[in-house]
Amino acid sequence: MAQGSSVKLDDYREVAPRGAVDFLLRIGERLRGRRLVHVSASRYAGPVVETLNRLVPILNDLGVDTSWEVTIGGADFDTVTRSVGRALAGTEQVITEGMLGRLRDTCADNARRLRLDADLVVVHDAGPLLVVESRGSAGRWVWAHHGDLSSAQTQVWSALRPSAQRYDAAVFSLPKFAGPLSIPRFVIHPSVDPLSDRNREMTRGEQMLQLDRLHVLRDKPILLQVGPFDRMGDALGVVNAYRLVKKHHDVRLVLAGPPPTPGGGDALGEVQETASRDPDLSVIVLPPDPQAELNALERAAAVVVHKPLETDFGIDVAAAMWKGKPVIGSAAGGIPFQIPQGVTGYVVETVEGAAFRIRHLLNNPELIGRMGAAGREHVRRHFLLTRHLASYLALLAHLTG
Amino acid sequence: MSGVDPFVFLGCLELRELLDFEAHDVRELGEQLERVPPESVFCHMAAVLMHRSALTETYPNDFALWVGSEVRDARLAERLAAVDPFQSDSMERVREELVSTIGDHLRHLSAAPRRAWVRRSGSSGRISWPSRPGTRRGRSASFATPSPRWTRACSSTTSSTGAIARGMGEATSSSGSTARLESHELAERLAHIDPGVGSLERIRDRHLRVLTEALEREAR
Repeated sequence: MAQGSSVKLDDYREVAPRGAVDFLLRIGERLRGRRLVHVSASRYAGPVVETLNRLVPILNDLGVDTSWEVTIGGADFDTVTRSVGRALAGTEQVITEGMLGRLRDTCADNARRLRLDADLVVVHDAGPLLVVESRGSAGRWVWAHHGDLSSAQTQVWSALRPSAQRYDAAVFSLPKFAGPLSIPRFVIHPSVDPLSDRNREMTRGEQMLQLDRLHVLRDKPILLQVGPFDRMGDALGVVNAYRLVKKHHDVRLVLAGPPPTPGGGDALGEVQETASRDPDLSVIVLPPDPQAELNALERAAAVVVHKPLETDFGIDVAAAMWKGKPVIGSAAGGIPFQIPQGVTGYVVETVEGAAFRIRHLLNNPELIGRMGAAGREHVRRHFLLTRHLASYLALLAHLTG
Repeated sequence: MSGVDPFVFLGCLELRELLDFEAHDVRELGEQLERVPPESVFCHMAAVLMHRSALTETYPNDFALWVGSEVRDARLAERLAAVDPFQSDSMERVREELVSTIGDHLRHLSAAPRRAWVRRSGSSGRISWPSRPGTRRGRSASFATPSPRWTRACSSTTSSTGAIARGMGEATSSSGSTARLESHELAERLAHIDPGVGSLERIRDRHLRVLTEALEREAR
């Protein structure tokens, strides 16, 4: 199985829609020799990083000279970046002039240090946003904001908006996430990489090994939610839905998520307390970079639940659908966009709604298979890395002529 | 329609550009459809035109999808889904068909029985949920597309069940047909049926029981 940076574009022929790879080769030919630079605030965590890890080598394979630059700063820079990110996502934060000044200075330092001479510079998210202040006249600049900017904290957005306006275009994950900007705005949905450890095919033995390591029993149908153990993740809501289901079906609930982050509003203790009284409820705090673990968990699940109260695009939904699982999702962020109602899963508004839909699926096992298959096809068409790659190439072609 | 994600018109196929056109309800959708460039119409019909969707259960174009999922008007969604771009010789013709479908739907909306059902709430997308006499009002639920069967049931009866469905709250049966029949005792008995207790089927059963007993008494 192809893994890591050794993956070639041709490896995607087996999983991508027919013609997709040829289309990429054709458009790549046209853009051969152009230079593209991605700039992000981290190289280690998050969906953007996962995507860039794979996109950058493939773009180079296609002949597009692509590099990935990472901004660096002190510990306080990281703190400011996180706070600004949360403020832009709509969570009230205290952002002082001093903090914005620190952000500005660090971005200016990075602009001097980084190699940003390119036909197209794509700056990802809020951390490096202000690097654009030092842009030259050559090349086009795009700001790709992956979260929801529609309810950004006014004071912070007012301070950053003039800088955002200095870009030639902005990219958002969904139309409803777009911020008010007078520059051209494009929509590029996130994607799942079908050949990554998280999503690649897995042998039964490998799957069992991972589940054993996580102490997940397989004697009953498994309901799974993957998400942070904070208030917004609504793990307790999922537990309540599970309890309603449990009255009628003998199932297990597995809640898996990363360790709580500072300031994230920890609900882990409460969930663990609840789990300690129920042998069919497992709470798994995932290790760092839990790609294979998540792959095994999603493959073992009968139904995947993704019921956060707030989220960004929520690409985990597509990741579960790629494994042929129906998904019960909340009407938050990009989740409804990924689940055609009643076709690949259900979008629900309440705990009761989630329980009702889970019961409906468990009562109709053939529906689980049918929805799972439809979900995989839906992801193949709309949320695979190859489509993401095509979008970036189209952006490069469109903006650089 | 607050809380509805607006329909945001997009610009082209592989690279989707957000245009400065948005529709927050069906009427606006029709209006904006007349203004957007033909490329945008193409973009939103592209699932059909370029690669027939793998999911045959979903609506085949973005307009139908949005009307179905956000506006929750299944009737219009179905009609928009039936617009076949292969039957038109240009995007302008597709646009015309979409606009005329929406216009026709809006024209006939006021004549449809379900419209009368909704009008009582004073807003197009919401109706008041029936409240028990003496309880506070204000609970409401979205009912953009009541099923035709339900609507027929409401319009063909003056029982309290129908009144509940029409959002009138208190039962009106006693002041309806029974009053006209000058059967005040029966009117009073029907008026005592609490519409806030039990399911609609149970309420109907109670009405039928009272009416059957009255008929039996009359026969004796």
